Amino acid sequence: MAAQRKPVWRVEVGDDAPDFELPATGDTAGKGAQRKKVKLSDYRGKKNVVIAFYPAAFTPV
Amino acid sequence: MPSYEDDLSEFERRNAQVLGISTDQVPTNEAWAKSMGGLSYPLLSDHWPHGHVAALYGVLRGETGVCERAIFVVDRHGKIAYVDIHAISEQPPTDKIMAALDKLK
Repeated sequence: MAAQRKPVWRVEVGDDAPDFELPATGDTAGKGAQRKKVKLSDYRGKKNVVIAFYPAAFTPV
Repeated sequence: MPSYEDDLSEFERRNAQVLGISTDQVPTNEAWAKSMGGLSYPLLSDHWPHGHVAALYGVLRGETGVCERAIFVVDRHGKIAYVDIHAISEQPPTDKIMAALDKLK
């Protein structure tokens, strides 16, 4: 549970989302799309973004 | 993550792009997505510097080097609109994500 270890820093509602650029699978994962980098701020002014952190590939949920 | 594929039209209707992030490397994520028949959104690799984006968002688990199961909704203006740091073994409720998106202009 997240509550077990209090983090030093955590992003909260109303904060500016920290920008990032990461290597990615391409716009569609596992469908042969060419790999690319994805930058959060490229969506600014265009789309809402749902960032879904997950612990590891090949795990359930 | 796979369930967001089923809800894709609901995300599209709300002008929302789903980005999955883990500390896995890109080939691992590609293989995983392929094993599920492919996904309509990208999986991002926070592998090196290890977990630096997860750490920026405060969701890197220091003892294991993986990130929490966590949702952040970012609006079109780049502001955080919703946060759910979830129990790591459970699926965060999608209806709450949709409700948060519905509130955005």
